[in-house]
Amino acid sequence: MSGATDPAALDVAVRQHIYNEIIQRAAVPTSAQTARALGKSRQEVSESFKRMKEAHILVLQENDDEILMANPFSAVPTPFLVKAGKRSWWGNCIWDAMGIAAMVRSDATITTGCGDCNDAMRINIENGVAHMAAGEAIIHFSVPASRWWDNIKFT
Amino acid sequence: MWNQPRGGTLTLEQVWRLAQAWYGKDRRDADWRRKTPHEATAVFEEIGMTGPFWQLAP
Repeated sequence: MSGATDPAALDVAVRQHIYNEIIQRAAVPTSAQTARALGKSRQEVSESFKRMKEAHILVLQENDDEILMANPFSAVPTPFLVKAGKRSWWGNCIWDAMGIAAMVRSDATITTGCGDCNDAMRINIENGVAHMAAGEAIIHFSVPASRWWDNIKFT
Repeated sequence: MWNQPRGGTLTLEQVWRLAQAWYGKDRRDADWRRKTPHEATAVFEEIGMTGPFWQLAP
């Protein structure tokens, strides 16, 4: 890809590249890597990242240049480790961790800890059914839905 | 949650249904787009996420 590109078309290409890299290689690409892969300048890709941040498709790190979250995936370690076959990812929360299993359409294991007591918890997704490896679980949301995007990193 | 105000609670099965409804559509598809608030509310209601805590608009 080279030359002038419609921003909307570029955003689609950037989004496809991001999710391809994450799903196939389990690696969140940087803006420089994305620019190289698409034959674009880093500035064009950074502007695309920012448009997708405004559209709540991406969450960027504090420098506003690099990806923190391409939901449901996190670019940094979190307490929600998702493994499917030989690949593994971090989810942003339990909803996103289960979302990774849904997105990669595979059996998966989520390793996390209880938000209340920190006890180890493992959730298996097998043949489209989610169940606890042991015991029972209840999922607690602290922030009401109308305020999730006030500070999505906290949510 | 200890020392935290009670928020909203869901079962594991509800969150799995929510995750599938939210992330089942492949974001690599060119025609993928975010759900509208109306569509998101419909998903929440289908899963049983009803009441003021789950309302997207204050």
